[in-house]
Amino acid sequence: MVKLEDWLQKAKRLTLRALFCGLFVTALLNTQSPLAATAPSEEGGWFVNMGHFAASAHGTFSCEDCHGNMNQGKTMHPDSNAPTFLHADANRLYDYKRCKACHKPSYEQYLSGAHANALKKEQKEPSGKYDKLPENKKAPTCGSCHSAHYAKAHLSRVEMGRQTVSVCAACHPAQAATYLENYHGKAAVNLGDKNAAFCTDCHGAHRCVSLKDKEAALNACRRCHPEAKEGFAQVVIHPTTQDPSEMNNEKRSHVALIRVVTVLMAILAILIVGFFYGHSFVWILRELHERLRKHK
Amino acid sequence: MKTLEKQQTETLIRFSPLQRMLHLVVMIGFTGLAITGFSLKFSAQWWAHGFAWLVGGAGHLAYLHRFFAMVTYACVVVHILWLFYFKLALKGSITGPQSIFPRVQDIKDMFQHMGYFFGRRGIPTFNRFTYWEKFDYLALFLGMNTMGLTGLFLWFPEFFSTLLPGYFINLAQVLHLYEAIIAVALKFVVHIVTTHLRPEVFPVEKTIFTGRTTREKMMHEHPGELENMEGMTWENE
Amino acid sequence: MGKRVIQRFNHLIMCLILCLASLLSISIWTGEANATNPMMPPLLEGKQRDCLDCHRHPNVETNAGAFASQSFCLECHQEETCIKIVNKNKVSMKVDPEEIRKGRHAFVGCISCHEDVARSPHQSEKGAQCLRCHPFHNEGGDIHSPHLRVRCQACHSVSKFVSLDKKTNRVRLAHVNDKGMPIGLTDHRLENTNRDDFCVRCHTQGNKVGAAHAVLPSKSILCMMCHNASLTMGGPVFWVALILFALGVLITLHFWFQGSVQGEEKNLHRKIALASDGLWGTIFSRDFFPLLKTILLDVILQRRLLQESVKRWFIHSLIFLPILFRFLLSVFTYFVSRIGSESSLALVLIDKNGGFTAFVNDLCGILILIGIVVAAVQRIFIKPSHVISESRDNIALLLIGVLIFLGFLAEGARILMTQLPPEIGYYSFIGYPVSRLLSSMEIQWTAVYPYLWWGHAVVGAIFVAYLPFGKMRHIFNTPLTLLLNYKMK
Repeated sequence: MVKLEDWLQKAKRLTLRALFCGLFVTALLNTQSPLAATAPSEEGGWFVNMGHFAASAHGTFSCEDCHGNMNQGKTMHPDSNAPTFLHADANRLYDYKRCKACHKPSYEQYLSGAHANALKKEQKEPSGKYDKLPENKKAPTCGSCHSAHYAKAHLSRVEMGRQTVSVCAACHPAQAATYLENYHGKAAVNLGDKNAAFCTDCHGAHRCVSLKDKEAALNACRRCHPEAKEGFAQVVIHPTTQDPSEMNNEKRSHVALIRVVTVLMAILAILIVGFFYGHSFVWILRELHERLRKHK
Repeated sequence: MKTLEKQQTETLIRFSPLQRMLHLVVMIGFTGLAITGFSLKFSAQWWAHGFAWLVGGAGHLAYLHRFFAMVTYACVVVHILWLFYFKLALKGSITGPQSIFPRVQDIKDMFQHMGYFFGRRGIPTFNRFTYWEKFDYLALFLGMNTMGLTGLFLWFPEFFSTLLPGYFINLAQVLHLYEAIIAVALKFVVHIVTTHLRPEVFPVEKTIFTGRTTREKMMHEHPGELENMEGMTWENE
Repeated sequence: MGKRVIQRFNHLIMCLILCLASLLSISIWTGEANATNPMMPPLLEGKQRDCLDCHRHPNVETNAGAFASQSFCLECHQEETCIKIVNKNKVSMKVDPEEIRKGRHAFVGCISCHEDVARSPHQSEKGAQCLRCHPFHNEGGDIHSPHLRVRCQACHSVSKFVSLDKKTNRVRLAHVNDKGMPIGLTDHRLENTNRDDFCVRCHTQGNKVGAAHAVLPSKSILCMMCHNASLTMGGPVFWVALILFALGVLITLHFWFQGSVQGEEKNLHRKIALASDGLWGTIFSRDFFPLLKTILLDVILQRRLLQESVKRWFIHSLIFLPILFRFLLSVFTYFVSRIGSESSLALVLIDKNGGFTAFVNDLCGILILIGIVVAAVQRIFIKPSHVISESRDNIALLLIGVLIFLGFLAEGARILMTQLPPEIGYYSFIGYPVSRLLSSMEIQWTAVYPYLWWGHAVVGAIFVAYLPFGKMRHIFNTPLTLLLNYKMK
């Protein structure tokens, strides 16, 4: 009978500790992203908010400067007989070559990057294979990242960088999340440090590259860490298992190791902290009891 | 410390000025490290944001964190040097019953003490350092070295990635974070509660700051040490 | 014929020719235009249309802007030819302008609700956003709270067909009817949700949305000790419980006032007057703060019990403190949901599946259950010498124990039948494992759930009714005694 009581009290103690510590660690490990959902709900829409447009970088342009004469020749706007009527994405309908007139270097850099390669691949496929994909799984055109109607000019490096991160996050959420857990993300986005790296500082703004290749990665790191040597490129910035087709076995094993160590340390933390919190709690109760009896 | 004086009001000196100062500096350094460190980890939260703004941005936050780290580690180094002095010059015992070195008796004391919590056994007769004080010390000693080493990895990743593969920097980050969580959770709560907020000693236990304690307290809290002191010949006068 | 007649005839022919010519030219012109089929002619009131005539975002906050938005959309959508093809079936997308103009949303622009549809590709991902204007917790608050996973349109639209969207875990209007044929959901009339038979749209046998087969009442005010409840009684069984409770209180008071009050022995009227004088006099005096201290230390923290025994204090606190916490949380939730019904705090507190509420409720529940089990083991098996168990003690333990047990069972059944996904469910760290256990049984939980709910509710009602009669009376007696005697130590 006595043993049962002991065992019951031990079980009660253990359960309570586990619960308290679970709550503590969960609270501690829950961080929120500071990036508000800047889902451009006005994008690709049929209506343009003229107030925002007037305040944008293109605010002094007229519609025809970029869109040309929509009622020319035999075609008229909108054309309900066209096969793309009401179905195509807005940023597949517009001819972005028009951007080249003012934004020549960016346009040519884009053409040499991974995004343009993906777009070329998509355009070669018969239509229907890629059409059904959601917006954030298709290759990006200029309009996927840049708001032609509302983009502001003369943003500071940090403002621009934060916008960049939320734009990239729309299609690369796992990479954005791991970036924000990393020092670069915290310093750059959360703390607004202009010396820290944003997505485009490593991966390129228009000529986007994936940095799977360690040579390319090391060159990117050396832009800010000039003394970096070969091993430095093995530091894992995006320890994520999403997009496994992009991960090689080496990175996969490193990510797995990091994950195992994280889980083990979390368990150790819960056990140690839990035990001592419980220990102190029961000790306090006993001492209160003794004190109350003394004053009786 | 083995130095002791008997004064008229029966106060006994338990901690030397060096020990008291080291504790104070470590206390301040540890707190500074915790605040600056967690302001980076939780920089998405408003309070971390606010603190970083207060000190002037991410760069200053990093500088302060490393400054406090240097100060705290300097205390570790001074302490180690003192240990050498204590052992070699003062011929003190660093593994004896009155030392802070963990012994089998401490495990027995812990179980007896927990028995007292459940009203089954009496309070054990503690020597100079109780088992929880030894744990506090050891945790800090090991913790500071772990944090220091992993911190150095994070401070000089270019150098350390030439010695070890790059993903060790990631591992260092994980260890640094969880060790910090354990250390802060234990020091800011358990240590404060057991030393100051326990009903027996509430509100403040001044001994670590003044170095002095009374005979009654010694009898109550560290009877083994008192016995040892009284029965001992004056070696270090 | 005369000259005049010939003149008139010529006049007539000229007119005819002119008319024919203009008709012909119009038909040629429209015919040519039909080859590319624009939505609207490029001329408006004689002037070339400007881009911004259509593409300027209308200010839907104004009536003019709302009407502009409506006419833009209705240009296509009021035609019979406005259809979409779904699996080779033609589905009408026609909207009757009269429905809108005679309905409640006459002055609301289409894009105020259908926020994400005026774009290419022309399809909405999120549907109409009612919550932009309508806080969910107004007069319908008590009905809305248990239906947080149901989209507004599923009840308030006249379309009768509902389905469970697995991706978002929401009940929504189905895009197919009960025969599987695709339907357009363009009927903008609003359903009369006050109809008695309205709820059977979902709460019927064989429903696919995980709704219980019976319509259950709102939680009674008697349930407020643990749950965010409404101020209604909920059903006859709760009335009976309340009457029995009131009877018990009256009997107790009658018994108390049989004694003497401050020397007065006979006159009940004087006794009551003296007692209430004493009561007010003590509260509104400088004894108020010692009274507060007694409430905190003795009533809430139970220091006198801690003085007696740590173990008993611990078991009692395991049961008492979570109940107290849930009661305070329920009261707080009630006030927040009435005063700040649009706030996100109200939503966090009301959402049973939300992280905070699910976790706290399950934590409190399991702590109470553990306390009951330990107390039962104490009384039945260990039987220390100072404990004398009467049947009344055991009834109290049994009632609470069964109440919590049925509560967890009902929670598990609810999570199972509403097909809550694991990433939301795991916050209910007791309820979700229970639902996994229940899933191994081949039972139709939507049929069983009403019985579980009523079982829990009836046990709760019995608990309330039993309060003044059994040992549980101590939750009123003990604080009262402590407060009356706080000066004596």
